Formats: sequence, structure tokens, C-alpha cells
Amino acid sequence: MLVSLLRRLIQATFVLVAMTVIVFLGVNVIGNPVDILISPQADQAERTRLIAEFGLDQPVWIQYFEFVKGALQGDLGTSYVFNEPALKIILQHLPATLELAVAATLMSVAIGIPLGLYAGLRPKSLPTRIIMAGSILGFSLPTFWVGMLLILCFAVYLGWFPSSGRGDTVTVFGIPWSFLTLDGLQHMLLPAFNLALFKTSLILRLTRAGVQEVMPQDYIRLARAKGLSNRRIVAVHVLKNVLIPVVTVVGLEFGSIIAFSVVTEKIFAWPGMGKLIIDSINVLDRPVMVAYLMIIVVLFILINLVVDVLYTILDPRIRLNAGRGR
Amino acid sequence: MSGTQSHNPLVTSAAKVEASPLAHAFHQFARSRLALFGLALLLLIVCAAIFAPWLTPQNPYDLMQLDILDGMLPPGEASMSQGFIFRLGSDEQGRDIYSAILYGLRISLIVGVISALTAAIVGSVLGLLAAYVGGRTESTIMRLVDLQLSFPTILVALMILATLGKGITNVVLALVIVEWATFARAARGTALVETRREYVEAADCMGLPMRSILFRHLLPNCIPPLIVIVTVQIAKAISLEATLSFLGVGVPVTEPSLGLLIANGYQFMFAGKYWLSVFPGIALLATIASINLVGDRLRDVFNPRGA
Amino acid sequence: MIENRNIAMQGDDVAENVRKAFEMNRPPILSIRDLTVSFLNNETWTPVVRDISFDVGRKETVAVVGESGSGKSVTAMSVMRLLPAETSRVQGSIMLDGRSLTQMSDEEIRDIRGNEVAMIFQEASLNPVYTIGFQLVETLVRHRRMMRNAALAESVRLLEKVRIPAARTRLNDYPHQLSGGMRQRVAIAMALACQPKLLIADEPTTALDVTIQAQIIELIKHIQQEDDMSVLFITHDMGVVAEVSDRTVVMYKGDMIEAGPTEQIFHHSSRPYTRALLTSIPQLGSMTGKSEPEPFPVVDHTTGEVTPPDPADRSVVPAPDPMLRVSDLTVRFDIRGGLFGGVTGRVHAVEDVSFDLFRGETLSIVGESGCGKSTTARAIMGLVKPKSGQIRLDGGELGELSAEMKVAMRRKMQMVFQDPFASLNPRMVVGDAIAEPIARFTDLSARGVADRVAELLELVGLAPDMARRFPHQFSGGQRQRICIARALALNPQLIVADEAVSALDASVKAQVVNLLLDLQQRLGLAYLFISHDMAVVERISHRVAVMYLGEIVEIGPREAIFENPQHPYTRTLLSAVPVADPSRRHMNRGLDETEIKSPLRSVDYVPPRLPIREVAPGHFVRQVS
Repeated sequence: MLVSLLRRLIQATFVLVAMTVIVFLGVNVIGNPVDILISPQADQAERTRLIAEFGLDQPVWIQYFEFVKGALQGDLGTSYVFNEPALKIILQHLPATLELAVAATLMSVAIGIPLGLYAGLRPKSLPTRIIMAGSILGFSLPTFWVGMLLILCFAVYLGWFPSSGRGDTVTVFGIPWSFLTLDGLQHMLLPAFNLALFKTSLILRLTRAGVQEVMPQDYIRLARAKGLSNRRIVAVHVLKNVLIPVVTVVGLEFGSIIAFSVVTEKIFAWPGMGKLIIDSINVLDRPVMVAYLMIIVVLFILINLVVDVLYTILDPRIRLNAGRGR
Repeated sequence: MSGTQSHNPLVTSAAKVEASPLAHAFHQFARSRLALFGLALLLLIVCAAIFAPWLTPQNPYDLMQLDILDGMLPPGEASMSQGFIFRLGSDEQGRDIYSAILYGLRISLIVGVISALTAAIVGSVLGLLAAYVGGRTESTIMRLVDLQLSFPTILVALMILATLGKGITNVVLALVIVEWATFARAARGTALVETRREYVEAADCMGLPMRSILFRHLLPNCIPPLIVIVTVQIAKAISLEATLSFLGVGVPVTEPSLGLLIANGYQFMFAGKYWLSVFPGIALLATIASINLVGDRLRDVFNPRGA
Repeated sequence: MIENRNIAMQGDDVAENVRKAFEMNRPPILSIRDLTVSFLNNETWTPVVRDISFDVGRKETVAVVGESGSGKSVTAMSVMRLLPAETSRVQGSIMLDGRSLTQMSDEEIRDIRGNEVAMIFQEASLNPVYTIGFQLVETLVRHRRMMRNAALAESVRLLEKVRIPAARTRLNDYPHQLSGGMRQRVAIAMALACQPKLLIADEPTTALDVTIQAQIIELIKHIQQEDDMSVLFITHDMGVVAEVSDRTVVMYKGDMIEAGPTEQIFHHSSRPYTRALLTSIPQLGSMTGKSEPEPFPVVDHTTGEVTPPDPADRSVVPAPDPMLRVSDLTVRFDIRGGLFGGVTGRVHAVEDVSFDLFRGETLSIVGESGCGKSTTARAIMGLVKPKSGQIRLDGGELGELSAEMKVAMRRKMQMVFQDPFASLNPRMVVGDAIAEPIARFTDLSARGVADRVAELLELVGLAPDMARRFPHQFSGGQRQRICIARALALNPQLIVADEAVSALDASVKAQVVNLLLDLQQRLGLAYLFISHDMAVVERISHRVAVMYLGEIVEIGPREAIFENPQHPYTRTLLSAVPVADPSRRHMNRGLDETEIKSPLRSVDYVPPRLPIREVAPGHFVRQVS
């Protein structure tokens, strides 16, 4: 257990290092930073001075070293637009995105797992066919278009929910949260649903596949032969076996939800990291892009680690084998 | 009941006289009406895209054919200067939405198919290579795959396009980069499973050369699962391209794909000009959904356990 | 070999019989009348069990025996009402102690299940994600309304009852931490939780090794007497039937062929199918006194006509040099783990194995799972890389030949695998599969290749026009024939058959064994026959090698091994094989819970090289440590 965790940490460090290289090369070498950093109106002397100031005349590896040194001290550059440290701006926008992502994940689990269970247990019934056809639709609907339709339908025509922003927030530990106010929750519902739609289909299908794999197993037959009620068989014997892989996927997809919040945040004008990054890309605010990427990398590595640990805790087969070094 | 034995080996059960596995697969496929509907819809969409110039009253990319006086007409209005009806309305420049959709479909389909196929070839070759060569090659390729797959496609594509800039080629390149890993992992996985099958060992015992084991035995058995993935990935690529275009980093404004059409209409949506976004959206949905319906059924057919 | 058995006749045998006779006069515990079960298949109802009627008396064991597709398991499942309601239909009456099981509500039948009637299945029927204790307690809470602590104490008692060592500590174990045999004991403990009147055992020993099978059968018999239970025993193995049952029901393709006292079924059956089944099952000991292999007699199962085995001379022509010589073969697999993926253990799969095989001879390698018999075969075929040792074919050392020569040499030996469904490419018609090596390695014309394929198909008893079919259009036995035809395509001298008949039904198994013997006679083939099935091995071999934990512990002429086994493991193995003779049913082997040892060792393990002794000409035995 400890050994595997340690091994994971070492791997994570490698990923982190690899990603700093990729991000650095991507932003500093492929795209020409001179064009991005320096206004085209600047004359030659000004250009030379700025190139020297940003250290762009140094060899690439020295630039990389400086970049890593800065990154380790929490300095990922200063935003051109906000004129503030990029890292600080990203961190300010992080809670809004996390809040939205958590809400979407909860929503997709709450809808996906029960529907998936039903579809798996009654594979031939009419509701199952509707659920499965619906899940294909869920897979196929482009997130941004659904977002627009949701706004059109529920905000513009019906006027039930607001179409943009976070609404009222409550500040806890110096961070504003929307989910603590009714208005905030109302603001959150449409974007969270929008973001959850795709993942709901995924979780639904995964759960159904799991149920279909577990149901013909001998241990389910044995559970029935023991005289257990259908309810207990499903809630105890089927569910845990099905949920182990589902939990893993939900964890891993959390990262993907954060990434896709780029789209949803833009449509619903949700002031999170996603909207920030799109705006930054459009004005080529390089330090913010770099800071965003580095935060995302760290976030993903953390998510992967948590999922790994969770998986080992949930599945006795993995847990014990790891302990025995098998 | 495959274990049922006929006691006289010369007598087989008369029931099964069906042809090749391929014919069998199609027969299986056709048993789902929903999937057949998906296939028909897909064929219709592909035909519409191919024959777009003959099916549309105007070339939406040719600025000479656009008349600003025809701008923002709701569906069903007739053109002021030209002799046709805007069946699905027009945009602010007088562009016929119906024509724009068919031409946009072309871009969406081309980008989706080319990127998915390229990714499939690159990924499968690398995946098969990993499975056969093993050792350091395998671990290098698979580490790359893991790294790639641990980051969501949209994020990677967004960053690539942010660095490289807009353009159809760049979009295709970005999509290939985000999709190859899926194929590599699937190809390696299938190949490893199939290699352990006894029929491959039997061919090995026979002294058949590596080449013939690979191409005559392994490949035909590895391809079906890859076909399923290609279908699903084409749908994903189309959806991703649309999303990227919507975000403003995808295809250029001069040749709008469906995603860009939707994005263009976005600003007019709240003014009640729904047709600018809704109709291209429906076309996009129909395309992706029909591909997914086909892919979903193929998965069931090729993997009898899940059917 | 009877002498070698650990027999203890039960003292009160006569009293026992009297008591049984008395019990039989009471109404039966289970009474099945006109049972017909149909499955919904492509919108039509197809009967899979037709008009079955039999009783299970009190404290009686009834065996339902049949080959795959006979409907025996469906019968068992319908008693418990475990078949899916939407796709199956049960007609007729099933009475348990006077109450109709078919007319009960779902709630009522659930109170019966696990309580009055308990069931055990093939191996691995425990939920992998819950502890043994959790699963035992669950039953006790459900039916006996026990509190948790009382249920835990009772669970320990039940585990002790099924002879699980250190029962208390086992409660917190997960199923995968136990061996297959131990898992089956846990399942039995669970079944006994509510002292059921009837235990339904559906192929409970099929997935187990033969020594473990003997233990489990012994345990079930023992507990039945302790608890005065009735047992409905579903099996395909006539040997097991003879060991366990008072009465026997024979099924074939959904029909009940006959039912009666086991002795009568075995000795005086009038039904051709039963007689065919009995003659086609390999019976250990049926070859006593014969030195050469002998095919199974063939009984037509519709007419009952018996074709005696072909009396051809099957002795091996003496030759100065062996065709295949394996010396000091060792195969080990590293187990990696830990922080840096270092070697943390080693599976000593094959240790220091040496033997010779002569032209036209069959050498069988027998042993239980993990003994290294299959790895030996695969190492010879070049499918796994040996750590050390030599393999010489016709005097040429395979390790020293050039790659090209190696391929040429390898073609002289071919392999037939266990699973006839996996060993044919599903996307290739069988004719192409057989033709492929011929077209590749000979210069026959297309016409010539086709003729050769036809010839090969006929050689293995199939029609030449079957060449155009795909593998999924054949039965298991036919597929195995196709695999044999493919193996013969390049005129090999040696066939390595790795459990080649183990997956087949008894009657098909007999036919394929006869085919192999016939081909050996005609083509002068040598066989290396890998099997765990002692009875088949007794039929087919000239010589036998017994493997245990990677080593050959005993090797010699078949007669010597079977009639005069010297190594204690060989004796254990032989005494564990169920014998299809009901008169020996009351023999008691004694309760035993010895497990099969694992060949997984620590990295620094050095295997002891125990000396080998020749006890008779050609009969070698490894010394016991």
C-alpha cells in the first residue's frame, strides 16, 4: 500500500516535470513570445531592451531554468490584462469553477447511477430503451449548443432561472461561494446541468454495463439461493461490485469536467477559471495561460492520486495484493 | 448451448448454415431498428454534404451571391433579389442558413473523418508496435499515452490551437494529437488479448512467419473493436471541432463549420432570431447522434457479451 | 491399486441400511412430477427439460447425471426457482415436504431458499468484495434472525464444521485469499447455516483438482450423515455419481433416460444411452493387467450395440535413440513488485525435468494445477523460454540450431490445445486454417492443397465439404478434430496434446481418444499427452510421468505407475480419483484438508535436488524429502 503510494508520487513528479517542459516549450518556443510580449509599435531599440529584460536572448535551457525557479516560488508571471500576478488571478477564479464542477459531478452521479441500475436490471423494458436512446443523445449533444438552448428555454422564454453570473455569494474563509445562497443555487442549476449532461450518459452506461456483467455471476445466483431479497441483492451484492469501477471513473472525469467548464462558463458567463482562460487566449495573456495550465496539471495529478487511493481502499483484491507485493 | 455435442461427428445441427462472420454481423446489426434509423440518417447526411452544391440555392461562401437586403429573414421568407425561398431563414449578411448548413456539414465531416482516420492509423500502428516490440519501446509509447489520456481532450486541443492559431489544418492536427492515444491504447490492448489466444499460438507452432501471423490472423481479429472506436471518435472529433470553433479557436470565419454557424447565431439568439443557431445545432446533433447510434450498435454486434 | 486406498469400511453398515430402508418409506422430501422447462429463444418457447419425474427421499442422495446440454442444471435451478421469470417457463409440479414450490409467492420461496433448501455451485460463487464473515453472517441474520455477535460465533462453528483450519481468523478474509477448495468449503458452511432439509449441489467439484475434489465429496458425505440431510447432486462425472449417490437419474438432451438405484443403473441398465455413457466414461482400473494402450469400446446410444476396441498391436517398436530427449529442463517466472519493480519472488514452474520419448510412443504427464505439466509442454514447443536445459529432437538440440533450422525442426512437432473454441481463428473457414501451413511449406498446387485438406478432414472423421464452414458452426468435439487435422497437416512425428480432451463431454472425449490412438497406429505418431484426468491417461499411455511442484516425482511404464505406485504423491493422486463402482460407495477416505502447495518461492530459494532411484527397469522414483 505504502509502496504503491510512493511509486505513484514518484510518477506524479515525473509527470509534473514533463508538463512544465511541454508547457514551457509550447508557449515560449512554438509561439513566438517576442510577438506576444512586445507591442508591434515598439522600435528596434525598445525591442532589444525588452528582449533582454524578459531574458529572451538567453539559451532555451536557461530560460526554462528561470521559469522553473519562478514557478517553485509561486511566480508564474504577471498578467498583461489585469496587471497582477497570474497565479493569484487563477486562484481567485478557482473556487467558482470547483463549485460548478462538484455540483455537476453530484448531479451526474445522482441521475446516472439510478438510471444505469434500472437499465441494467430491466434490460428489455420500455423505459430502458428510452434511457439508452436518451444516453446516446446525451453523448451526442454538443455542450455549448445545449447550454444555449437551456438559456433560450429556461431563461429567455420561461424566465425560471437566471442566465448568467454566480448570483449572491457568501464569503467563507475569505472565499465567495454560491451554493450557500438560494440565488446562487438558482444561478448554478443551469450551468451545472449543462456540464453534467455528458457525464451523466457516461456514468449511466458504465453502471448499466457493470450491472450486466455482475448479474450473471455465480455469486449473485448464490445470493439468491441464500434467500436474500431482491432489494438486498441489488443494494449490497450488486451495487458494491458495480460502484468500484464507477467511482474510479467519476473521480477521473472530475478533471474532464473542470476542463469542459471552459465551454459552460463562457456561455453562462460564470466567472471561473474556464471563462478566464478563454478570455486570456483571445487576448493572448500568456502568463495567465501558463498559470492556468500549471494549476490544472497539479490538480489532475492530485485527482489521479486520490482516485488511486480510493480504488485501493474500495477493492479488497487490489488492496491485499499490493500489500503482498504481487 | 455451444457445448451441445452431436454424437456422430459427421452430423451437424442443420440449423446453422449461415455465411461469413461479416454477413452474420450485418444481420445482427439490422436487428436494432434504432441503429438502422441511425445508419439511414447518416447516409442521408453524408449524401447531403457531398451533393451540397446541387442541393442548395446559393453558395454561402461566395460573397457575390449574398445580398445584404436579404439579411435576417425568418424561415420561409422569399429572397428580395433572387428567386428562391430562405427555407431556414438567413443571417445578417443575407446568407441562406439551409445552404450554409449543407456547406458547413462538409467542413465538419471532412475535419472529423480525416482527423479520426489519421489518429486511427498513427495510434494503431504505435499501439501494435508497443504490443509486439515490448520492452522500452512499449513503455515509452504507453507512458506517452497515459500522459495524453490523463488530460481532457478539449484542454489539450485548446492549448494547441492557442499556440498554433486558427485554421482547418491546425484543427485537424490538434484533433489527431488528442485522439491518437485512444487508438494506441485500444490497439495494444486488443493485440495483447488476441496474442494470448490459442489460435495465435497454434499458428506460431506451425512455424508460420511473423508477417502472416500478424496480417492473416491477428489483424482481422483486432479490426472490429477498432472500427467501433473509429466511429465513436469521428463523432467526438466533429463535436470537438464544433466546440473549438464556437470558442473562437477553430476554423476561420471565411469557411464556417456547423460550430461556427452556431456561434455566429449565438449573439442574435436572445433577440428572438433563434433560426441562426437552432437549425445548424440540429444538423450537428443529427450528424453526431447518427454516428453514435451506428457505433453503439457495432459495439454490441462485435462484442456479443454486451448485446 | 485397491490396496493403496485408504479404506475404512463403516462398521455399522448393516444398521445403516436398515435405517435407510425405514426412511425411504416416509414421503420423499422432494418430489418432482412431469417437470417441463422451456426457454424463450427468438420469440419461441423451446423446451430444454421434458417430463422429468423423480423423488429425493429423506437422508438420501440422488445424483442427476448427464452431459452438457442435458438439462441437469436447469432442473436444479427450477427447484430453487432461480431461472429468470421473463425468459423461462416451468410446468409440472415440484413438491418440497408436501408443499408446492411452483405455486409459492416470491416471498415464500425466499424463505425456503438458503433455509430449508440450500444450494452450492461450481467454484468462485462468493462475492469477491465482501469478507467470508460478512457473507456467512448475512445468511444467519436473514433466516435465523440472529444478532451480529451470535451470528459471528455461529459462523466460526460452521467453518469448523467444514474443517477450515484457523476458522476464527478466516472470517476477515476475502474470498480471493482462499484456495478454490477452501472457498467451496465456505460455500458449504453457508449452505449448512440453517440446517437445510435438502442440499442441492450443482457440479460442486468440477472446477477443483482431483485430490481436492475427493476431500469435498468426502466432506459432503460426512456432513450429510451428521445432519441427516438429503442431497441432490448434479454432475457429469459417473465416477462421482458412483461415489456419492443412493439413486441416480440419467438425463440426455432434456429427457430423463432412466432413474433408479445407483447399483442397478451401473450394473443392470437396459437403456442404450446409459450403457453408452458408462462404457464411454474412462474408468480408472479398467486397464489393470494390460500393458499397451487400448481404445474405448464404442456403444451406439440408440441401439445399444457394442463395438469392441480394435485389438491391434500397439506396442512401441524398440529404437536405440529417443525421438525427443528433454534434459534438465527448468522454467522459472519472475514475480516483480515493490518500489522499483524488482524481482520479489519466483514461480518455479518446471524444475530439472528430464525424459525421453520414442517414436510411436505415448508419454503422459499427469499432475494437478500448478504442477508445471503445461509449462513443460509449452517450453518444448518453444512457446515459453526455458531458464536452462536441453530439448533434443531427432538428435538436434533446439537451442543451438539456426532460426531457419529451428522452424524446420519445430514443424516435426505440433500442438493440440485444451480449448477447441479458442484455438481456431474465428474469422477463417476451417479449410483455410488447415491449408495455410500446407500452402506455405510445400509446393503443392492449389488443387493439391485442397485435396490434402480433404484427405486430412477424412482422416479425423469429418466430411471434406466441411472445409468451407467457419469454426462457430462446429461442436466442441468436431473442432478438436479440426485442430488435430491442422496439427497433422505437415506430417509431424510428435503431437503435444495439452489437456486436449479435458474440455469435452465424456462420450466425445472417448471418441477423440480413440481417434488419437487410431492415428498413432496408422501414422506412427508419438504423443506427449498432458492431462489431469488419470482415467484417460490410463487408456492412452505407454508410459506416465507424474509431476508435483514442477518436478517429475515418478516416471515409468503405465502398468507400473498405476498398479505399483511408489511415490506418496502418486498414491494420493490415484486414490483421489473417483471410481465408477457403486459397491465402493461406503468407503471412507477420511476427512482431510491438505492444500495443494504453491510453486511460488522467494528469490533466494534453491530447490533441493533429491536423488532419483530406479525401482524396476524404466520405473524411476524421486526420493521423498
